[in-house]
Amino acid sequence: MKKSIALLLILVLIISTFAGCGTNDNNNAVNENVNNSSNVNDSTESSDNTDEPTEPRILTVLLNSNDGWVRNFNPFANGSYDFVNGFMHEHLVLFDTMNENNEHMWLAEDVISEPDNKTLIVKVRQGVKWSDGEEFNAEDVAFSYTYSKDHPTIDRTGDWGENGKIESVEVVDNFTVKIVMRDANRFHRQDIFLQKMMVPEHIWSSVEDPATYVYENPVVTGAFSVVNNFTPEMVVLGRNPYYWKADQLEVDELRVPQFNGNDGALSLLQSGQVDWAHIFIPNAEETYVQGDSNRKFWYGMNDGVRVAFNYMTENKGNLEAFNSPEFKKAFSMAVDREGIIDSAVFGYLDRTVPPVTGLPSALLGYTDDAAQAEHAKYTKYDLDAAKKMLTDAGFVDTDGDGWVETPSGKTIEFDILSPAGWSDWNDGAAIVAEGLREIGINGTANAVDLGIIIESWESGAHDALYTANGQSSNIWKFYFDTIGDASRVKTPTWWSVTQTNYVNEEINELIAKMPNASDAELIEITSTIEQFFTENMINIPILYNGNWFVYNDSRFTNWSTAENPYCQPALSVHDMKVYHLLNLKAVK
Amino acid sequence: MKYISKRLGFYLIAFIAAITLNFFLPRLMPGDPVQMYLAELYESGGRIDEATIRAVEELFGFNTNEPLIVSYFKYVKNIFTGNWGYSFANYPQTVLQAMSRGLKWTLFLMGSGLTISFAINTFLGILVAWKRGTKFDTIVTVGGQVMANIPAVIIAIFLSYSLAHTGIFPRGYAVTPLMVHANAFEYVKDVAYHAFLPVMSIVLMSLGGIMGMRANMINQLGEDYIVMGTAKGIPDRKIMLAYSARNALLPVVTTFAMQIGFILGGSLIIELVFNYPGLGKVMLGAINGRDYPLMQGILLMSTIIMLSANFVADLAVLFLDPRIRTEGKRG
Repeated sequence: MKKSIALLLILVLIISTFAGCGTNDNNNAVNENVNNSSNVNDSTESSDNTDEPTEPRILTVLLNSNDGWVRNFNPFANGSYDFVNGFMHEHLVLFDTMNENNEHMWLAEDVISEPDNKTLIVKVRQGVKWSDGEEFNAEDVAFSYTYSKDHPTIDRTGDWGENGKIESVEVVDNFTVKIVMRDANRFHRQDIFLQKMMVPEHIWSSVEDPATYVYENPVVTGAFSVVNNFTPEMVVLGRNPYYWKADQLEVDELRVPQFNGNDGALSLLQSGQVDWAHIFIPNAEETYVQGDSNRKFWYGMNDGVRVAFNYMTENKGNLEAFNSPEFKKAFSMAVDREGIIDSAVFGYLDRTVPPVTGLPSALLGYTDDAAQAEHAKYTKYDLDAAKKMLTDAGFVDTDGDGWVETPSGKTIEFDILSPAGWSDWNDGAAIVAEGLREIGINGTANAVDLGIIIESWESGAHDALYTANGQSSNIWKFYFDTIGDASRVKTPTWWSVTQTNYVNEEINELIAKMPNASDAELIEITSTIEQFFTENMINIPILYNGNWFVYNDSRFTNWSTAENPYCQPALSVHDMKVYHLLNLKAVK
Repeated sequence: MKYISKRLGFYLIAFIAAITLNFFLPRLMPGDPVQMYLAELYESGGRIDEATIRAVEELFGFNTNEPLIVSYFKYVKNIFTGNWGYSFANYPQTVLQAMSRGLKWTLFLMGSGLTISFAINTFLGILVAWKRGTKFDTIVTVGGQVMANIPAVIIAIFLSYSLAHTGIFPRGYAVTPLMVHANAFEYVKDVAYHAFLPVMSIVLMSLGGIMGMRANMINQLGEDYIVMGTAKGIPDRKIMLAYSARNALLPVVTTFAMQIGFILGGSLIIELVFNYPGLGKVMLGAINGRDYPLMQGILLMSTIIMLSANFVADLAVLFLDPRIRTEGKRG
């Protein structure tokens, strides 16, 4: 008996040590490999330059929270990694969402918009090579666009198919591509190049199913193409030997450690070894900076955050209230925006209140003065004025339960939903509800599972959401996605957009005119929409989301900062991150 | 033999019940993998068009039109043919690959936790039973009882805030990230440093085991053969360890198997608190992404671990206790 118990114990011990050892071996292998590859890297360094071989300059970034890296550089795969976008596969044109969507020609030398608003002539950059030595040319560009025609699973930007944007793509000569769009639209160039990665025809043309293809050895035009090491814990990438901007790139090795969730990211940041991350850190001075003058963050402005009403709610009382501009203006004045910025986001975000349409920072040039003047009146925290406005409009407590009823005597009671775990939003919604209760509106903040919110979109069962407005590449697309596309009402397909179930035929007609409007007409239309939205308080604007840009300038300097915002600094999926990368200077 | 087949029959029914729940529970949650994937894309700043959604739906091969019952039978068939499918979120990894890394660390935590707590509980149980009625007995018994009734999550959070957030122990990971370990010893030291708090939580939450050992021990101490031994002048130490403790251990083997289930559940939560890269973390990721195949896989794996542990315990008891064997023969 004694023996069997001992046996059992030994068994448990063996299992546990076995488990430990397995990972132990792995990890040692990682370290050895990392060292080896750095050596290899050193030697290529020295052969490229005549300089003395130096230590590789390593940039460590935090991208994609996950449970372990899987070796697949496929840019079309589900959950394709963000470092593949930009750092490996590049784009024709980059748009700086920080600076009014300014264009930076990248793999395109020039893009000519023909006067018909349908045809785009792409002059492909000459002298660019794929990382296997093949020439990058017009064939590759055309292929990158037509590839999704036969593979609907990778057509994420809706280029082809029934309502596709593109009519034809044609190679004119070795370095010229002609793209003809289906409809005339003055905004095509902002729409068609954004997040469109170039892929080599000589590799992908033989791939049968691009979405599920396992792409282990990437061939790219971008800065990093050599896989120095790949483990579930860390991806280590080395320089592309043929990189066309090699002389500007001061980073020899890109390291992307695995992390899971914000806590994991924070522990990595605390180690001081991370150079660049995309994360909101609560109480950053104490938890991240910790007195280290090199650890910095700048959140800037991204898309707008708002309270969105459901204009198709089945609750009659709420619906009556939501349709009253006075009710919503009172609502807006009861929102302590300063309080939200100070406590929900620790004072790290800009204090600009977005327009009622929620124009993202890149499109702020389209605001209208009259609308903004009206906007200023009703976005200031003033409980007394809010209360008075409610009373004047007939929203009073008629049944004595302490909460106001609609002018026709119906009960108003609603939840403001936000996804549980998105702490800054949960706190923001709570502060909104607090203000509402002060003026007698029975609103409650409720943080629920994201799945419940998504389901409520389809059923229309919710009343109000604490949510964002979303980013967009141009003004027409922004309005169309957030207001003008009535087909998205009460469907689960309106992620990040409408979320109000608000339909206004006249406004939609105006939006439909925008693609072919002249400059003057465009301003007229945007002004009309901005004014209408502000007068009717369709949304309650709250604040601007940040770009969650976190960096450490002890190893690299010349980051895009508040003082010198030369480009959108966010890491994440933004195309501009490669531009930012090439501006970094290694500390000598 | 009849005993074994009876147990096997029971396990089969339990297994089928478990896989049925594993299939339906994840699907009862609101939201589907496509939506959750889009949510993630959205959160990281991506642009989502209607076209994106259509493409993603096609990509996932997620067919909402297939009747649930048809999917269910496909799933059962796949389990028995060993095809657990691909993880949605970790493609091209299979479910087994996606959870293997987490599983290793979870087994490591559970193994160490079980071994240590078994040793502590047995030793303390013997000791307090021997010294029953003393102050030491009261403190250990009451202490053990209290710890046994505090949920694992509370213990873990308490340890995390008192020891990890103050910087004495690490706040996450199984090894220091980005660290190059000079040698195997350094590595083991690093692993032990990171595992200390999670293992300690498991040990603390299992302290209730002292009670079982103590009770068995006291029962044994009242037996005639102990009185006889004492009368014959056998040394106390020998009576305590070789006579009574040896027999008192027998029932503990059964509870040991049950403990495995208890600890597996606890360790999943403990991992989340300590940001430890075990199965619990993988599970949370799978839930957030509505990664049905991976969720099913993890639940199935837990079921298999639980049932096998129980089965081993049944066999062990059969082996250790001749009475059950004869019972089987008689019936």
